[in-house]
Amino acid sequence: MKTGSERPAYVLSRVIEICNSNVQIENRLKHICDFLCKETFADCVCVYGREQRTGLLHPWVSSCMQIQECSQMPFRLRPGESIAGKSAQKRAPLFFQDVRKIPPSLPDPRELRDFTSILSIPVMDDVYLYGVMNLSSSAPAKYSEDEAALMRTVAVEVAGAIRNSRLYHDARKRVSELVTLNEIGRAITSTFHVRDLLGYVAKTTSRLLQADGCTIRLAEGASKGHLKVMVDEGYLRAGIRKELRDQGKRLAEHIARDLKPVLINGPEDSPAWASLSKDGVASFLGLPILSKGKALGVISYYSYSPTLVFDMEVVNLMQTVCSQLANMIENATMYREAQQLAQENQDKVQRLSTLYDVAQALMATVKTEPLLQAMLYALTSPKGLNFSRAILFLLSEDGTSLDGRMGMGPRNRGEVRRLAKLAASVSGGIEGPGEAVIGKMLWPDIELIRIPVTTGGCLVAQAVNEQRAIRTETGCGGADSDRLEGFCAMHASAYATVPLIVKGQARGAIYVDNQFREREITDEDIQVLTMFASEASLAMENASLYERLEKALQSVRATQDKLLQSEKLAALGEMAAKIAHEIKNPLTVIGGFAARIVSKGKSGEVDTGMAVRYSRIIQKEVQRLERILQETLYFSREVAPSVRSVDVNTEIREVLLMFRDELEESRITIVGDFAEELPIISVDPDQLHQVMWNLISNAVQTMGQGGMLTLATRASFPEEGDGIVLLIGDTGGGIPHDVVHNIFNPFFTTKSKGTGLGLPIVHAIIERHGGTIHLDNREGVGVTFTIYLPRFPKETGASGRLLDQIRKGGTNETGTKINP
Amino acid sequence: MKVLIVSSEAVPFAKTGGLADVCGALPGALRRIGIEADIALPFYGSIDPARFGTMHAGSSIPVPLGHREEAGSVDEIVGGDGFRTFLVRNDRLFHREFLYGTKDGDYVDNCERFTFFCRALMEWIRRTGRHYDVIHCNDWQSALIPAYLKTLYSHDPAFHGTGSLFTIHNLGYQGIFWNHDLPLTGLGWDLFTPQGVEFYGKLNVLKAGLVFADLLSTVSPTYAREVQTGEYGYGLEGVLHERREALVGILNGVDYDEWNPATDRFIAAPYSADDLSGKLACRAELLREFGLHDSPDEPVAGFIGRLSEQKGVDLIERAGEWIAGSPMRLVVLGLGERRYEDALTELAGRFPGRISVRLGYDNRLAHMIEAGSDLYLMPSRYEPCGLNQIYSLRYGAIPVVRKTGGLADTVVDADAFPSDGTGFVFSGYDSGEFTGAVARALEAFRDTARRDSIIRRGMTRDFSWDASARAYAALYGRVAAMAAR
Repeated sequence: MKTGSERPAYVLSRVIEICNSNVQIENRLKHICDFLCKETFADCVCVYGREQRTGLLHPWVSSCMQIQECSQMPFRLRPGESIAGKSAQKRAPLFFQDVRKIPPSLPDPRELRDFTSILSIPVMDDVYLYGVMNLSSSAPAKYSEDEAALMRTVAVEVAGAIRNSRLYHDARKRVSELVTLNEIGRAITSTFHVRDLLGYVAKTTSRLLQADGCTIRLAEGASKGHLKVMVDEGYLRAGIRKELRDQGKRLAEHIARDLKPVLINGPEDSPAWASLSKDGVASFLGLPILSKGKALGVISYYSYSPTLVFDMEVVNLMQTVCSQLANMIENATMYREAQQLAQENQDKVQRLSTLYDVAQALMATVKTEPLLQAMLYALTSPKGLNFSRAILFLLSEDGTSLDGRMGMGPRNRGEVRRLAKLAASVSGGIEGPGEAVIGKMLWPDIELIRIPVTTGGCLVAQAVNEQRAIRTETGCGGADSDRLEGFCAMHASAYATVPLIVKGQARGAIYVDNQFREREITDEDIQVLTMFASEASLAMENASLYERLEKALQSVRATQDKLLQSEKLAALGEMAAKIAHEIKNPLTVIGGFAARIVSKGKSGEVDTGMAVRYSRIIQKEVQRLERILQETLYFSREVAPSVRSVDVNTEIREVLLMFRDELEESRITIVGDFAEELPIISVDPDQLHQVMWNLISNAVQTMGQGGMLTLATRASFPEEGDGIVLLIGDTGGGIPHDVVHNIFNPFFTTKSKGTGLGLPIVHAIIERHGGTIHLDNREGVGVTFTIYLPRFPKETGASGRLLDQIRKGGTNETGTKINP
Repeated sequence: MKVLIVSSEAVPFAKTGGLADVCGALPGALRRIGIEADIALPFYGSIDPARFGTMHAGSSIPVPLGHREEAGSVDEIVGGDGFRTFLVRNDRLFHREFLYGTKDGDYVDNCERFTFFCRALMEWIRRTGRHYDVIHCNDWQSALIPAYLKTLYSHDPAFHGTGSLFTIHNLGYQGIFWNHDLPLTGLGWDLFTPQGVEFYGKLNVLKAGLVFADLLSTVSPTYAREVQTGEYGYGLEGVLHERREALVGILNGVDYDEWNPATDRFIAAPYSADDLSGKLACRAELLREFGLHDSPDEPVAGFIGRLSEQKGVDLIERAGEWIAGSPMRLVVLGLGERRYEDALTELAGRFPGRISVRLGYDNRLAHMIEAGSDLYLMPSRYEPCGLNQIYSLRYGAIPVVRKTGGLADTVVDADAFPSDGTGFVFSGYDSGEFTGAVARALEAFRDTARRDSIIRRGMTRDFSWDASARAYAALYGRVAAMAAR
């Protein structure tokens, strides 16, 4: 024990230090008790807590016991009882120096034990009493004024610590409750399944409140008078749910009537307490689920544990939950009603969507015959309008009679099964089975059915004449059945008919009935049928328009073919002229030199050098002739490409050799940039030669006065594809702006000599290999061709066709397929 | 195989008990057998960034904590011994002087602190795109992670193929909080049942680990069996028994680099099983340190440990008089509950020269006691694994232990098994049985040849980390296989 003038400061500072430490309140109190026990005369320092609800004092923390031990001591002190009780009642310190000599009133031996002196100080702040602190000693003790004042200050400090701890716990509890409420709120808005949701609410709230049992009842029946148990949660003790059933029911009915929560924690709260406590219930809470002043149901909670009683705070909390629940239940009821409405609507929508499907199917059919078949199938199919039988009449050309065009459905009972079987074998949608099946469903000899438009009493004729839908259950001609003849005598008495109207003109009619079936023709059927008829009319009109168009198109095509043929001939003529011109020069040269050799040979003055020179010229001209022939032949016969693995670098060097002399002559320098390790590609080497030959030859020709020929190869970039890229560029001044778009067209040429087929062939070959060719034209500078060839050629239909087109001289008919 | 070991403490960063030793040594031992194991722990105020060198390992992570979000981050210790150490940082929660509470008690917000720790790690893994095959959680402080893997994050692709192992180091600490802390964890109320995390109306965080981890382990095979009984289960024996198929016991290893009498820098003279002569010098120094007389015929018994009921201090207290009357002196080093501190101090006061008590913890003294003692007392009420009896074996201090937990797995009774015995073992938690075992040890001590053979046998026993690490590796393999399914 510290003594002297600094003692109060020391004691207080240590107490404050402990009070403000960040640990559980019980731990803090325990340390204070232990500390005070050491620092005062007391042999035991004990803090009694005051129960908020009852005002009873219970041992909480003591210096001579473990925390748990102390809080589990079973005794309670009433206000006024023994020393601590008295101190709490008076809210003032009490000191008994010798409890044996002067005992307190109503002494409690469990408080006094065998102590002699006891000082009781209320633990309180300016408003609230939290408990009492007892300093007890075996020997008679004496507390000076200062000492007593110090202890009172300590008690105030302790009160502060308890208040803070309560605030902290309340705050945390509040947060926890809010989070849970939020969760419940979210659950409530996420579903319309009342039972699931009530189960969730019961589970969550009873765990939050630590209730032992929870039951939710909902009002049922027309008068909403009967409360039905929807959910039971908890009730882990055997049999308890059953025992509480009647009790609970009575309480719930009471709550539903009074529309007020009921909280029962003791006999003072309700006469029902007696029987509840007999069943072991320590606390009961029931709340009405209120909506617009009506009880939709009741939610009840039970607790068996005496330490856990529900309080007003819980009531407030649960009222919030209940109002959320009420909203949800209201919503769910509305949802159920809405669902019923929706079901009715759905039927309507079903019909409309059927009609839509039918219309789609009809619109997709442009030929009259299949269209009419599709119409009848749609009328009789269960997936469609689902009539038993349907007959289509069309107005004859002279407008005097309605001629049977098509009929479908059973004509007699025997056919019902056959058709049903046939229909069952058909899968798929409303667009119907193939023509083969439909053919079997159609009535033969339909053209025998014929109704003169003027037939009196025939409702089909009437429908056409009056342009409106008609339904009857009594057949044609009313009751006067003797006069019926022809079709009117054959059909069912209950049927419906609608006219087919195009641009205000009736073109025919549809007849439907439900023969051999127990189904009435309803107003809705008529509505749908009318809509169907207008769709069908439109489709029929379309079909007939389409047929007319088709015819027109055919004649146009024939004319076009003729035109093309003559154009082709013209083109061939042009080409022949060009070829003639082309081969005339070389032939003249060859002839000239050959004649010279002959004449020199005759005169015996042949010298070998001259002969060789002349022969070389002849050879060169022959080469030119060969090339002209090759180009021409390319268009006149199939050239089946033979694909091989090729190194483009090698090939390009080979082709270059052929131009050695010309390049030298024209003083053209070559800039070559051949990539090492160029991928080997699969191409037709002859065709590749042709491509390179054409492009280089063009380049050389444009650079007659010298220039630079650029040749480069590289592997393609990934974004270009897997293959190689070849560049061929010249400095020959480029292609004039206004003709550049023509260069890949057959027979176009800017050169005085040439067939004009070179570049189109290049283009076709490259496309046929699945490659691409691009042209970078700089007017006044030169042209660079960039060619991409894939590692493996792909057949591309477009280029194949293009090639054929060129070959066949421009018709668009499909030619022989070309396999690379 | 990538493993993340999650622990609330690890040597050398933060330590209050054996958990720190295990988690400090395990990653390195796993590394040596080729398993990549990282470790994560909270960034406590007691960890000095300047000393270890930390760096930022991920930007600020928003961590859901009940109804709000709390910002956290993860730092990494620079360097490391073949494994990576991550520190979960939130200064409001972890920048405090102590790990779990002051001397006045546990921090009032411990649930919030360690919920944050677990949740922050989950978010960090998810956001940084890391992948671990196994998350190895230890004790209640990391027990929410297995629950998160199976609930809140079960559909998160970041944790696809991630399983969890949960190790119980001490079932005495369960992380029990009031029910209103449940929303903090983010687990729904539907888990607040006796089959879930509810424990007599309260939230039991440890249970989350027991219920949801793919596999469970304790730190010794015997303890794994014991926790399924009412005597050792602390109310959780039911759930542990239910999960017995998933429950395995693996003994902790010890660090023989640190605890080896041949190389120990704290003791007076080195010695080994081949040459015990140095031990006499150690004994002399120990007795001098504790102010007791040296007499070669009378053995010295040592006790080191937390002064709590768990360690059987009340048995020592009750046997105090008997010990003082026997030809044996006792040295005690420890700190703990006030009542035991007082009782032992009083005992030492009553029998000066026979019993000496030092309140506190001092690593050098601990080494000196192990080296200088002839007997080592460990009458624990329960002992998940225990390390001091293993040190004693290596230091030639014959252990007298109660047959429980790791003690039963590491010490063999020399009377029952004369050719294998390394110490003396008693069963019932009773001062009579305890003093009986001590008496048997004293008798053996008089027979020099027998004594030396018991000592030598104990000194050559190997409880190093290698075997433990391999056992953990096998367990990780099983967890990963379960998670992959």
